[in-house]
This record gives sequence, C-alpha cells and structure tokens, in this order.
Amino acid sequence: MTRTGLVVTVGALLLVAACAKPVPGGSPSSGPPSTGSGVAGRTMVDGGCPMVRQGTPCPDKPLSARITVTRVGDPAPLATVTSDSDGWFRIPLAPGRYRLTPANLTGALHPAAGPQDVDVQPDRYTTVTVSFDSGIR
Amino acid sequence: MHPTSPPRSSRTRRACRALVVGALLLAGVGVLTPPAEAQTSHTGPSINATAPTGEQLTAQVYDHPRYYTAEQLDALNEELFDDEDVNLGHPGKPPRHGALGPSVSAPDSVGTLATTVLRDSTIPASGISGGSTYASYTQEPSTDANGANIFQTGNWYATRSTDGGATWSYLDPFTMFGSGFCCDQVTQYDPDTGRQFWLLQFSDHLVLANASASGTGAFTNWCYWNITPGWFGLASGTGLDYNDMTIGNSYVYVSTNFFPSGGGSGSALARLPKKEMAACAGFNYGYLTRTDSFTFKLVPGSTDTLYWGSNWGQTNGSSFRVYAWPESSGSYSYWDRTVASYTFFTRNSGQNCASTDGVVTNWCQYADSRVLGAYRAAGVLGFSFNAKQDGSHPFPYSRIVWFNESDKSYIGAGDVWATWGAIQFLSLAPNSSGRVGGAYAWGGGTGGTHYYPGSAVYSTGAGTIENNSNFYLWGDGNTCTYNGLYRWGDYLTTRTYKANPSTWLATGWAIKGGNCGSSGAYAQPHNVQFSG
Repeated sequence: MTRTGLVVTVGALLLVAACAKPVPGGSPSSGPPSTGSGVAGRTMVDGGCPMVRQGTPCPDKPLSARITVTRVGDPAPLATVTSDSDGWFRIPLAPGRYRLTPANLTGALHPAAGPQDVDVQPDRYTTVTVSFDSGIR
Repeated sequence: MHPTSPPRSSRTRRACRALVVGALLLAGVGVLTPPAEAQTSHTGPSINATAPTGEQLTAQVYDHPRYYTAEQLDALNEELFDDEDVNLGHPGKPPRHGALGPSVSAPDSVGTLATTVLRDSTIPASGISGGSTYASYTQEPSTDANGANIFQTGNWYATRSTDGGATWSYLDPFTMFGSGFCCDQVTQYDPDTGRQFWLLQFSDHLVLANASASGTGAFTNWCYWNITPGWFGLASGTGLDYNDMTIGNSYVYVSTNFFPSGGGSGSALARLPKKEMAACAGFNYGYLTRTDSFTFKLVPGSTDTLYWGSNWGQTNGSSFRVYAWPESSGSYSYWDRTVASYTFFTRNSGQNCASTDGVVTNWCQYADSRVLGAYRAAGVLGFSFNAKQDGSHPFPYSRIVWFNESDKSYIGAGDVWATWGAIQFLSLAPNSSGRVGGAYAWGGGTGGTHYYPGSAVYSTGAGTIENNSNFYLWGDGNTCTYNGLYRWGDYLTTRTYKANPSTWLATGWAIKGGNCGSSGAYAQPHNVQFSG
C-alpha cells in the first residue's frame, strides 16, 4: 500500500471512530454535546440577491454541504461530513487546529466557499458558520 | 427533519458506511494523481434559435431629479440603508497625488508615456434618476459614446449627454422596459449601425435594447427584446446575473452567468445579429452554455472572431481558459492554459483592501477573482482579474495574463499592484495604436496615510505592464456594507472612444461628502476620456 493509501486508511478508521460515536441531533441552539470536543455549526449560502435597489431583506439560507476536515498544514483528510438539510453539522475532533474545506453537494462551481481554520479546545465544541457564496453579483 | 426521511441515526449510519467504504476504496488505490494538463484545443457546437421582432418605445428624458416629498425621501433612504452597517471610521489626511508617486510598481518594463485625462465629467445628482439616493456605492458603471453623445449606465440609473459630458439628463431604467429592473447594466456603441446597445438585468430576464446614438434625440427611441432563460435553452426560473456585452463585425455578443433553481451555476453566451437588431426585426441567433466555466469575459476588440475567457472552473489560481468563436462558424473552441499562480479569492475569504490602521475599511471584502477586463491588441489577448495579497503583494492587486491570439499559447502575466494600497476591478480596452487603456479602483494606505476608494485610469502596451496610472478621482469616505460585508465594484468599464480611437472612455466613481450612509455623502459617478 502506498503511503498515501495508508494515510487515507488511517483517515477512514478515524472516520469509523467518529461515526461510531453518537452525534446528538437537533440544532446548535440546543447547545453542543455536553461532553467531548469538536466543531459544530451551520453551512449557509447568501440569499442570491444581485445589487437590488430596494432594501429588500436578503437573508442567508441554510445549505446542505460537505465539509472535509484536515489538520492545518497536512492535506490528509481526517473526516468528511455532510450537513443536514438545515445546514447543521457536528464533527467530534480531538483538541487541535483544523482546516474545514467546504464543498457543495452537486459538484457545480457554485455555491462556493473557501477553507476555514478552527481551533478546537478540550471538552468544548467550537461553533462556526460556513458561508457559501452563490456567485450572484 | 423531513417527514419521509428515515430516522437520523439510520441515515447517519448509512452515510458513514458509504464514507468509510469510499475511503477504504480510495486507500486501496491510493490517491489518484491527475494527469498533466493537456494543452490542446477543444471544440463545441453552438445552438441556433429564433427571436421575434423587438418592441419599440420612446424614452422620457429628464434634466432634473425626480421629485419626492420629504416623507418619500425618508422612506427611500430608510429602504436604501436598512441593511447596511456603516462604519464611519475617522477622517484621514487629505490625499495628495504626490504621496502616490511611483507606488504602482511594475514587475517588468516601465514606459515613458503618461496617461492623460482629456475630459473628466462629473455626473451630478440631477443626471441620475431619483437623484443622489439612487447612486449606489456599488455602481457597476458602463459607458460608450458617439462623439459628444455619451451614454452611461450604473446603479441605479441611465444618463445621457449630447454636449460632450457638460450636462446630463436621465432615463429611468425602472420604468422604461417594464417592472423588475435590478442592475448589472452594460452599454456599447456600434459605429457600423450607429446604434447604442444597452443590456439591463431584471428579476427574471435580461433586456437588450438599442437606439440611435446620433443627434439631439440620441438614446431616446429604443427597440428592445426581453431575453429570458429560454433564449439560452435554460429552464424558466433560472437566474441570470452578471452580464457582459461586446460587438464584433456582424454580431452583438451577450454573456451572463446562470443559476438553475435547483442549484449550481454556469455561464451562457448568445450571438445576435446586429443589423437585424438595429432594424428592430426578427432574427436567428446562436448560443452556448457551459457549467465548467463561471463568468465569461468577452474581449473588446474582437472582430471576425469572438474571443472570451474565464479563470474560474479548472484549477482556480493557476489556469485560464481562452475561448474563440469565428463569426463564420457554428462551433467554438477553447484552450486550457496553465498560468503563473496567484492567490485566487472568493467573497470574504481573507482579502484585505483596508488601510493598515483600519481607518479605510476593507472595501474589496465582497469581491472575488472572476475575470473583469480583457482586450485584443497587437496579436495579444489579455485578461485581468483581482488577486489576493500575498508575500510579494502587501495588498490585493490586479493580475493580467497574456496569450498569443494566433495559437492561444500563454505569453506571461503582469501585475498592477502597489505597496501603499489595493488595486482592483481593472477593466481594459485596446486603442487603434495597439495600446491598452484601463480603469481601476484603488484605496488603502499604510502608516498614517489613508486612501478612501477612488478611481484611476491606466495605459500600457499590449503584453506589458507600464507604470502609467492617473489617479484622477479621490474618495472622501468609506463604502457601505451589503449583508454585513463591505462592497465595491462590481465592475468598471473601459471603451475605445470611436470618435478618436487612439483614446479611451472610462467610468469611475468615488464616495464624496463623507462615509457612505452619512448625511450628504454621494457615490459620485464620473465619465472620462483619456489617452496614453
């Protein structure tokens, strides 16, 4: 097995561990899990409004999306999760610094979002909002 | 949870199982290494369609602002700013031209030609439909002219001058072509037909209009078509946004991004016969769509072949796709080229155009790296776009990439950049001497120096970078936010001035009278003619 394959295997096993761990449902408004550490949050996309004249509200909308977790500086994936239809996700992770790389589920060029680095502290879930750009201007 | 969805735990288990199996399969084969990029051309067919005769109207032209009562103005201002958070910041030092000096550095040759502003017309509030409250801090301005007859569009106005920019009177895009007008206007003059073409974006379609650009009645008798998503073979309800237009020997070309209601995105292009359009007649046209490119930048200076390009869709930050569609052909070709790498950025992804002390706010926060400018000159195809600050560029800057027109081979790249601030939204156009004119937005500052966003014009040789910027318009204040992010742009326009094709026309603006949103502040549009 190649070194890359080994890394991916380790990633897969980590994923098994992550998936085997119960992930509480519900929204973050109910709070992150009371134990453990990781990242919790929501994937959102802008309302898709161009430069409209009227002050019509154009709030962000939830978007189900894929998030790949790596350590900062190491491209080997540790976990990949898909947020639910309301955009919520939780990823159990050991304390450390991680990079979240978001992607839409269709493989289209948009909505698009850039990577986001997060710090995970012991016994805490770091809360993040991952903002996708519809591409509309 | 959706009522028909399986229980969450079941779904989670299945999803995890799929992920793990996928990951183990990947481990078995190792991570695939993509093959080296094949720099060959590809071809694709366009599709033919038919359009009906155009609708005709005579525009009302106004030489004074639309009248509102005090109550109506209050309501409009409340609407305009109710989702904008204004950071008033602190007033900076009065900017001095001398402070800039050679700050726009060039990585290669520095020329001796100066970019000279021959005319700088300020468009007053009275020349904008609705007056100053209709001048957006995100202007998206466009222009072109037939001699002294000048037409300019922007958010949210259209305005004309028949005296070389001395006076301006407005046309109301909110009412001329029906309801739903939004933004993203583009206009260009075609000397062959004597018509001014005008592209506007509405909530569920585009409008393409044209009118005579001659005489005192210039830009008043319009013929127009509603371009729905169906014109591009797209489903009703597909969003069309962010448009471009250029005119070749026989056709008017219109590009737009599209967003299907079910998600995703792509770019579309239509080729429309200009003589039939000028006569307000029905016509056959061709179009194409692609979902592997985002934002088609059409190349000014295209004649018997339309060129266009996109830097979004392959390897963002190190690739560029050049397209070509001969006017005599029913198919087009494209070439994927590797270009010098740069830091591609998306909205709010760490780009920072603010002054180092934060007094000038991060005015490019809403911007991204889509292609903004292009030209064809002296056998070179050039394309410009925003790039993010990096170890060599302390502020976001504008990158230009060059290709040989003959074989679309990559020539190289150059940067319009500065140590003192950001240079963004560079638009380009060729002149009759094979030189290139441009317009860009600039701002930032280091130490105690503050440059609120303003507008500059620029000139250079084809395929080179020269240090020839003219900072003709200085800002007095910061821009507003849009959905919580500072916004400028989303584009500028440079045109070959057909009455004197060795010179150019350009649009620009700056916020005068204080920070955006403060009493008396006005996003003041300008229309300039320049040489270089």
